[in-house]
Amino acid sequence: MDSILYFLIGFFIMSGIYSVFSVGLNIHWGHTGLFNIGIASFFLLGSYTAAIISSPPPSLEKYEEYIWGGNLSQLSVLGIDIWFPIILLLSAIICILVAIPLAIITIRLKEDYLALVTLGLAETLRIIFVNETWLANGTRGLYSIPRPFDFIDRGNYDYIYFVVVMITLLFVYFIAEKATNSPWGRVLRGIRDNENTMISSGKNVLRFKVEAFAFGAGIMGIGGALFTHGKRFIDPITFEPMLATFIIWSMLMVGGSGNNRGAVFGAFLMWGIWTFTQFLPGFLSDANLRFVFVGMIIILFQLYKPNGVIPAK
Amino acid sequence: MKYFDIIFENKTILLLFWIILILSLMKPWLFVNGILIGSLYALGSIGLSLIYGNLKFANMAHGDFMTLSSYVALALLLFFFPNSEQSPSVGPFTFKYELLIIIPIAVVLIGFLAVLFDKLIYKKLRDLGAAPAAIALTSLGLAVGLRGLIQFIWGTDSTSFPRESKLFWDLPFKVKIPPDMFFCAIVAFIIAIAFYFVLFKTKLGKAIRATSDNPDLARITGINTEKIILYIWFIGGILAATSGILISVQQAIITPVMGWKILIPLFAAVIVGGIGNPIGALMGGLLIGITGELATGWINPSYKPAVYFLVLLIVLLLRPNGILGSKGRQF
Amino acid sequence: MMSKNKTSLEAKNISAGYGEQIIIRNIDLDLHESSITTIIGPNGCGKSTFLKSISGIINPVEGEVSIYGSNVTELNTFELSKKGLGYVPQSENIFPSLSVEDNLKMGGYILSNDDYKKNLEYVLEMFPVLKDKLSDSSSNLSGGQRQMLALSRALMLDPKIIMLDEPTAGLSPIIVDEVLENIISLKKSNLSVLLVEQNAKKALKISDFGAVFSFGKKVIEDEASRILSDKEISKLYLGG
Repeated sequence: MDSILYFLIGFFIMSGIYSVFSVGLNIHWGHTGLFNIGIASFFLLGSYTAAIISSPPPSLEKYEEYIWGGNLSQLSVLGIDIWFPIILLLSAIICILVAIPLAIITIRLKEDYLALVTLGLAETLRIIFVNETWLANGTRGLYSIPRPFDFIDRGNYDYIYFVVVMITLLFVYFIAEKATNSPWGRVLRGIRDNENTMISSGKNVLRFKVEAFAFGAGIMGIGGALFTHGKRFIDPITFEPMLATFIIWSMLMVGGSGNNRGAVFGAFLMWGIWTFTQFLPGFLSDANLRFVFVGMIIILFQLYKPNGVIPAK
Repeated sequence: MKYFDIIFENKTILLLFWIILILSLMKPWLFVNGILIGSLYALGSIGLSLIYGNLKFANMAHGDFMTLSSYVALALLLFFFPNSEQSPSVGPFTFKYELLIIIPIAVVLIGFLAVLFDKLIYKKLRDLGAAPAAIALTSLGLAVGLRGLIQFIWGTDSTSFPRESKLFWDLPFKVKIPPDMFFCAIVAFIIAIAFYFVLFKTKLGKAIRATSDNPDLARITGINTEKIILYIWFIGGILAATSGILISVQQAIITPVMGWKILIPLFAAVIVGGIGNPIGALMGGLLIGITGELATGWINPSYKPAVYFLVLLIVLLLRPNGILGSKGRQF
Repeated sequence: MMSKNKTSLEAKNISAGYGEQIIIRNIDLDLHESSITTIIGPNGCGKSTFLKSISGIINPVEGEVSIYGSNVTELNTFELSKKGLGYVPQSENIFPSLSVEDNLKMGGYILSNDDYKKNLEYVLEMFPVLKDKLSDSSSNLSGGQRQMLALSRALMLDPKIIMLDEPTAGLSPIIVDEVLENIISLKKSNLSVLLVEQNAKKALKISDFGAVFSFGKKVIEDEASRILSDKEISKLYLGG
């Protein structure tokens, strides 16, 4: 019984984390029509930022090749772990800083160019983190990443982290909703549906697109930071496109591109399918079939239900 | 030739041209490698450019067609010639005679598969009036699905065509090339020339170019543009398949991610040469190959994909319509 | 009253537009052999839309088109060339990546080799200036030559009906007259010509019949000579 509960809590934690990514992608694609297939870039940047900040400094037993580090997140003031939200913020900021120049270069060009650039960036970042071992210990990765708020209850930590993830998700959802229901959000949707009309009505379309790209990237960075502290071990292989980009696309497709509720729903549904198919009998549990499944989801939903299961309001 | 004029008119491009020239003279064996590898990239990007220019979307599944063709070729080879490991190899090359028989069969199969996917998927999207990004996204789904299928059937480990190790050719200027590379480059050029012949000298090719210029006008003259699109997929599929198999021979390895991994250099080549410009795609492929190989002479070779990405970024910054200009495609 | 020759094309009750916007409504128009019919009217009144709806570039939301009695409304654009319909759109009416000769080859796409050669000769006789330019890129032609190529391309099919959308647009007056003369000579081979023109007076002068479109409807249809001599119409649509 205990292990089932444990398993379920793990499932909800990951679904919550993926929901954050899904909401971020929704800002990009669902609201603005930005074709970002390098979600892994921001996933990676957010994760590594969080990991680098909170990992202990290198020593002979741990991370000999790595030069950053500082056990900052263990500092608690007044019993409240003030560092965790700051870590989230920093992860978001790093992603935003990278997103802005990228957006400025490509966003004046056609949408598919952004796709190629984000794809290339994801691959390039992975190569950098593999080769530059001083950055984050290369392929050996960073491990034993500390747990925020674990002074509350060391024994049943997963439940605590579940609460942490849910609160963060609610926060992200809240600001995403606020942003997309505002006049700013309406402009984004106008750009998505008919860019030329927006241009002729005098809006600085470029600025809005850069802002949307940065905003979504920041959200993805937060997701990355959540992931780091959840899994407590990251290496460059973690950010391989299947689980760091494509599955998130399938989540958004299924849930409903264009609305945040759908994004969260899609994340839970797809992660559920991904996790529970491993219990199917025989060859059906083959991980590669899940790839096929994710691919088919994207194709079928684009063909028949481009607005997903939960249509936008 | 007007291509030289274009190079000299833009100072930055001229500077890059000189850099490449000087680096090539310093380490000529890298330049030669670059041409040989670049010719295979060129073949891949000609097909990609054809589809991008005519069907107006970035085909993310192109790489996985290349991967699939290698696996299909291998499967056919082992099916029809199960003792291929023991058979003799061709001359100074590592591969066996049987492979030469199998390649056309595999390539045509993939061509038909590309046509099938158009009928099942892309035509429907066209009829719905889907935006290019939506079609590209769907092709991404196809890419992921194909890769999953390949891994499901053949596993995730790498494999290769039955081969016999052969000596490299020792040439002057420290150039050492595996004869396979040479063979593959020659085949790539032959296929490219055949393609240009079809495109420029045959009625079908002219109809393809007419459709690319103005599909409405093409229909007015009696051209069945939907049928032309099927031909475009067939040809694009054949080009992808051929380059995929040749790359597998040249690199002596077949992996499920090989096609996906070269998507970025292929797209970079297409964009450098101008989307829809078949000659540009050839030049772009060669340029990408040369740049990549030259870079390994001075920086860590595992950064090659980063170099391709950098080239893509630079082209998008300076000349998003390509160095040679694309056909009416606005950036 | 002019007697009308055999009817070649009948358009009945055509309404068409782009997406939600309906531009033309309930238009009836017939074309006859060996005659030129010109449609005139202010900008945006639907003249080009009408041509596009007959040729299938736009699907009419209602109405029927028949060519020599057979209903062609449901046919795809590329099937209409077999029915003898030729069409020269207003702009972008040649293939700029192809040579002059290849443009003509595309014009004769559905022809047999012999028919192609025969029609090529005919077309080059009509426009001898193209003879020397056969291997040139069509994008290098002047405005007038381009129009000639566009018209030749359509004629390669040996069509029974030919529709020309503003063939004189952007051309100098001398070339305009040349083009109009060429159009007159088309009548000789029993062709039905449908002309859409801004150069209303000049076009009507060479036409047998005229139709005036206004705000998507056909408001006048009559013999061209009658339209020209009508003072009211002159004031409203022909610039006095």
